Amino acid sequence: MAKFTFEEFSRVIAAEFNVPASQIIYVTTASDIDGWDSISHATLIMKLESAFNVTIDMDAAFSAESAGELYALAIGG
Amino acid sequence: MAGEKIVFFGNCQATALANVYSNFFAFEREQKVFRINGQERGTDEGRELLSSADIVIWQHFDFPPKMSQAEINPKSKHIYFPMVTCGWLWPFAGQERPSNERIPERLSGPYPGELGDRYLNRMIQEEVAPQAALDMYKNMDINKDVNLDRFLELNLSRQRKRDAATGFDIASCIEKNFFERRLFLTPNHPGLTLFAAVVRVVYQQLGISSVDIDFALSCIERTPFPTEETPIHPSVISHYKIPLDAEVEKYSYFQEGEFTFDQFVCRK
Repeated sequence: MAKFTFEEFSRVIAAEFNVPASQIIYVTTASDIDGWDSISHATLIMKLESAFNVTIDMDAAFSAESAGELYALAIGG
Repeated sequence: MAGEKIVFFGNCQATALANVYSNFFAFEREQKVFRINGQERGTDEGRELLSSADIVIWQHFDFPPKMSQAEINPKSKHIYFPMVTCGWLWPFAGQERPSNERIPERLSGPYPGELGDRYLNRMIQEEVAPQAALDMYKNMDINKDVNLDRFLELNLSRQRKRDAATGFDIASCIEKNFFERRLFLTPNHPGLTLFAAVVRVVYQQLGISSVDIDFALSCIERTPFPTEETPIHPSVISHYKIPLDAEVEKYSYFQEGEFTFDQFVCRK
């Protein structure tokens, strides 16, 4: 069982981009969120790692196409 | 060859490459130069350009746009160049201000993402007064929020991957010139040193001689990107030991003048 839920995960993403948490759903992609580009993606991954005490493979993170795929990487899926 | 249609695909960096090539080489070589971005690719004109181009210069992104083979002329020559970015100087960059509006005089609005700051945007949304926002932000040790050394290495690592995919070595150029003033003007607007590094490789593949490329570059007094500059947080300057005086350094903002970091933060 994951140590943190997608809802918790999405709140960190939402906070990073100053958007309501409801805007970050499983299929949300970078193009859906203003300011989510490759630069902020690196910052985001570091924030997620710090928030949940996990290590996310950076190459895989840049291949992830959605918030859901990022979550799967974070929980080791 | 005369009559060739050359299409530069990408963001502002593709535009800069296209503009310089047009100014110095296309007319003499009787070539027609076009530039399209990701959004324009989906238009009828964009599709027509890509499918009929003789040469396409593709910008290689971290998040590459999905392309179908039907969009591309199978007989066209393809040249690739990497996106060149600087995230480490602006960890919160990329998001336009909440109040930004598209205006006819400036399609990206007066507060575009390239000059934006997610941390300051949050304070705008929370209606924090400008001076209070400045006091909080300026005294913040960015390194405690974002591990700047790791962030730098991640950014360079991504640059190396884009370089490797396209046959460039921009990351080494960045490392060699790391302390150059205005190595980047904004996260995605490189200064002349880095722009020249991209030009040399792309234009050689377009058949331009080194001598002619050097001449073109000698005629360019500044990087061909817009003049606006994103201010760097004082703690970032300090952490990386950039040779700038954070208190007095001024940054250009469109035609409105030059502003210090403090002045930039306090502007609504």
